[in-house]
Amino acid sequence: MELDSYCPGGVVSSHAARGQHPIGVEGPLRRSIAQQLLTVVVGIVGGTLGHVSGLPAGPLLGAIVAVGALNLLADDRAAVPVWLAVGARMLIGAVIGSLVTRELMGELGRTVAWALLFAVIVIVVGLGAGVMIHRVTGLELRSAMIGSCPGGMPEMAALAQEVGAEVDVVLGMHLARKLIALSVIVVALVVAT
Amino acid sequence: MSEPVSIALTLLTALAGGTLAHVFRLPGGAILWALLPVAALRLLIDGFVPLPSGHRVAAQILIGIAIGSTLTRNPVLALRPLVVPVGLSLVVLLGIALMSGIIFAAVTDLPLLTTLFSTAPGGASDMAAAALQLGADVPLIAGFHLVRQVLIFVVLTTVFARLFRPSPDGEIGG
Repeated sequence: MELDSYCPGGVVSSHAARGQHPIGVEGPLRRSIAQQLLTVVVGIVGGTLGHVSGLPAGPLLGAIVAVGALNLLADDRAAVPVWLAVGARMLIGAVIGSLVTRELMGELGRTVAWALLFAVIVIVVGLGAGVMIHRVTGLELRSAMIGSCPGGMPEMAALAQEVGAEVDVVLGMHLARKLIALSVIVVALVVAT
Repeated sequence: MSEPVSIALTLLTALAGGTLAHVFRLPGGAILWALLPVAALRLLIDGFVPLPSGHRVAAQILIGIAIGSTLTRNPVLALRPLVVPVGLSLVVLLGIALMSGIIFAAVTDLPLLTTLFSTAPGGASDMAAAALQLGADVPLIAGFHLVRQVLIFVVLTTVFARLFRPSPDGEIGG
């Protein structure tokens, strides 16, 4: 359910934000293998440094910072092949699935109603924030609400494109939410430990 | 079953499930459809072991590369005039999520770390990846995030698509 899920045969690239294509796809021929290799190498180096640093979620944060910096400093040059982005989700799914136990499934069954309730609360607050942003800034309602809805970034980007919302703004709002949520948790854990 | 065989079967199963999800664009995507059959194997067949820690680190790095590649100039620049209201709304959202996590831990016997990751408004893959080495119940966290994302996928995207659908004369609702 991520951005790359909508890019069969293409390349997940930084051009998602340029309005050239709302979900970040370019044909394989448009992105050089060298750029993809550079992105992967930079990400691996950053992730390894993050791992060695001992920070909470160090490999994840290290790779995000390294590849994000490459993108922002080098004119959006990062490019990730779709197979790698999808493969990453398959691998994380495999890792998580391999940690499942009968006890955990029982726990999930016992608590899923609470999880649903809190999911609805977070969704409603997100949508309310969208209405507030619309009223305060004059940003069109569809962009504000789709940007504030705490769903998967690819679905929201695809939806924004479908209904003619401002895709850059929607992507920016989702990026901010994901990165800030992750940063807050990591900082809180560092402080707590 | 030996550990190498268990690892190979786990990865092949995830590859098959994830590929089907990608090709057919199934709700939940590659992460859910890799997770479900692997979990089923683990629950139904004795001898399957958790993937070693090296796989967890690799998964975090690969997810990080995918997220980092989406961090680009235009979305960042597009947010500049909206920084204050969007920032405030995120503070409110994070505050509500934090309180939800605390209440979630209080009304269930789940650890606070697990519930905080579960209600945080991040993505399923990044929250699960971040929790991997922190002693939280990662399958539960991923499960709760997927509940939210599937709920939004099934309900809200349909509502939004109807509510904001372009009219035949080119005008867009909402």
